[in-house]
Amino acid sequence: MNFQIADWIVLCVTLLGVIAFGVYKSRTSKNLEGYFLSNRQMPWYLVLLGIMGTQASAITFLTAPGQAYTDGMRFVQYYFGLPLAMIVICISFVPIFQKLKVYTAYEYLENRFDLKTRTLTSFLFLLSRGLSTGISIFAPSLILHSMMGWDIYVTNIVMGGLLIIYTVTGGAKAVAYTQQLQFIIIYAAMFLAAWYALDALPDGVGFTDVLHIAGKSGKLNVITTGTTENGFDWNDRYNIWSGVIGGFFLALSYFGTDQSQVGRYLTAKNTRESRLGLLLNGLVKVPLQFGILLIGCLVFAFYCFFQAPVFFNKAQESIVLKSNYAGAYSAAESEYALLQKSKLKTVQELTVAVKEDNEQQINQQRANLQQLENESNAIRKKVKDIVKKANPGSDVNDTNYIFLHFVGEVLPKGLVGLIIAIIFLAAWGSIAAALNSLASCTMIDFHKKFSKKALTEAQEYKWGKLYTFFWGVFCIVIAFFAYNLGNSLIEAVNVLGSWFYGTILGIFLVAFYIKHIKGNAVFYAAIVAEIIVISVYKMEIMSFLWLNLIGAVAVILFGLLFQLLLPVKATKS
Amino acid sequence: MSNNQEHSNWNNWYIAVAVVLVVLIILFYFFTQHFA
Repeated sequence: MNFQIADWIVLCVTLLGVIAFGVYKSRTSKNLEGYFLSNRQMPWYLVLLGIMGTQASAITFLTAPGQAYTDGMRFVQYYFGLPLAMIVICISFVPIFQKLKVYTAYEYLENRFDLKTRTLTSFLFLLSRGLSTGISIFAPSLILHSMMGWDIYVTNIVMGGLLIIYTVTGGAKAVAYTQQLQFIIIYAAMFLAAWYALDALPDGVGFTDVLHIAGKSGKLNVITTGTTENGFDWNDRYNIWSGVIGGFFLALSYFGTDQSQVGRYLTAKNTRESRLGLLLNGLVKVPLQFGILLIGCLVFAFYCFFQAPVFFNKAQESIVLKSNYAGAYSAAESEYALLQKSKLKTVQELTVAVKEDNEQQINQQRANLQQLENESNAIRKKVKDIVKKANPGSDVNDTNYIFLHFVGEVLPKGLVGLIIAIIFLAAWGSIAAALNSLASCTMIDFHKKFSKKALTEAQEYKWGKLYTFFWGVFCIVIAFFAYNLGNSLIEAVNVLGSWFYGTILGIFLVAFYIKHIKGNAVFYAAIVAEIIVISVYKMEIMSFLWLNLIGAVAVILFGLLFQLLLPVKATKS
Repeated sequence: MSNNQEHSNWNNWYIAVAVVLVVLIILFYFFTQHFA
């Protein structure tokens, strides 16, 4: 990617500006409530931006447009369950967390069940969140390493290290204020990218034409039912049912039981501010995600008019071109270029047909476009097989590189720097909240709980800072390991998250809604649920979105069963 | 504000969020159909 002086200036000024803002805004009272929960003084709009900034990682902004380019907009259905989950959390979770004045969500589990259930849940959170935060540092660093040729270790340190400055210094308050600034910069930059994408199209091709091109190529598949001629496909990842039902349980477990999110709305002044932040998140998340995916469709339309690379990961491509497979790769590339010419002719004819409202021509060009899309997918699959053979163990999924490649080709000087800056800022938003929550769980659920030594407020504050620093370093180390171990570690971490989420949610649902189930029954039910979730995952019979539902339902059912079967004395803790 | 009033206010919020979701899904459905 062509990165010029103006881009470097924009990148450095943006990043340093955010760090300075975070440090400046970080003055808070020097105790745990100030450090981890901003003295519970945050207004709803900072809670809202905190929730959104924590959820959207760097990969969100890179993957979503690429996802729309390759698979269409159906990914938006993944968020359909989110608004409903926000309602349930506002009704059941928020009032209890606020009333008990907890620091962590897991603290409540000791009140409701017992210490071992609290400790187990908090431990599962630390394990999965600690590892996944390391990957949140590594994943965008790897993309920058591939696109810009930056040293992966230096990028990891810059990605993970700089935010440690304001996260350790200012705790939750600095996290919240920087997320506010990050949000504004990120969405402004994405809007500019969309603007330039439209501007770069040939004369006479407007926004509606883009929608027709993308739609007739099957990319505006916002609503899909997941049914095939053989009935419902349980392995289909994104459809309205997995989105509403599976997405609901995923969002419920993420926003209701993951401390990195719970910690954001615990900073609110009162129940009202927490609820407003969550409900507005429910209102804006789906349209915003729709907008980001639509940028992917603009990119798709752009590459109908201009030559698209057959494979977007240029670092992988250069490895293939130096191997014995260079000839096969170049042949596939030529085949793709030939296809591009047919595509260009088809979209030009389609645009004319749409303007003339010629139904017969539109139908003809739609069929042609879909045929070309199938052929294009077949060539890309062939290329990915070649890449895999040339470099076994490499990641052949180039979705994350599509948007950045487009940015490098189309955006003017300076704006490329801004897009690279949003990768850092989006990563920081979610990593900073994660570090803050990892530190608060370590301090509240483990250190304060198990240490026999009583601490003064100042000592607690110091330990809080130390734990934040420790988790920051831990996550950077994980990012280094991820580079050495490759895809296996990334996959393992992603799998780990989907294994635990449903079970943790099940424990909380029992805590809130089934009052007669006690500590031991829910503890053993959680262990059985975990075995079931892992077995279902291993059998590969359904998409990961359903695992949350299975885990949660299994805890509830086995909780009820164990409560009946276990002697009364044994179910009480 | 009395408890009942506050309760009813929040219920209106919850209904509004659910209605917006349903409206969005319907709009998305027509969007998908129109440009397909």
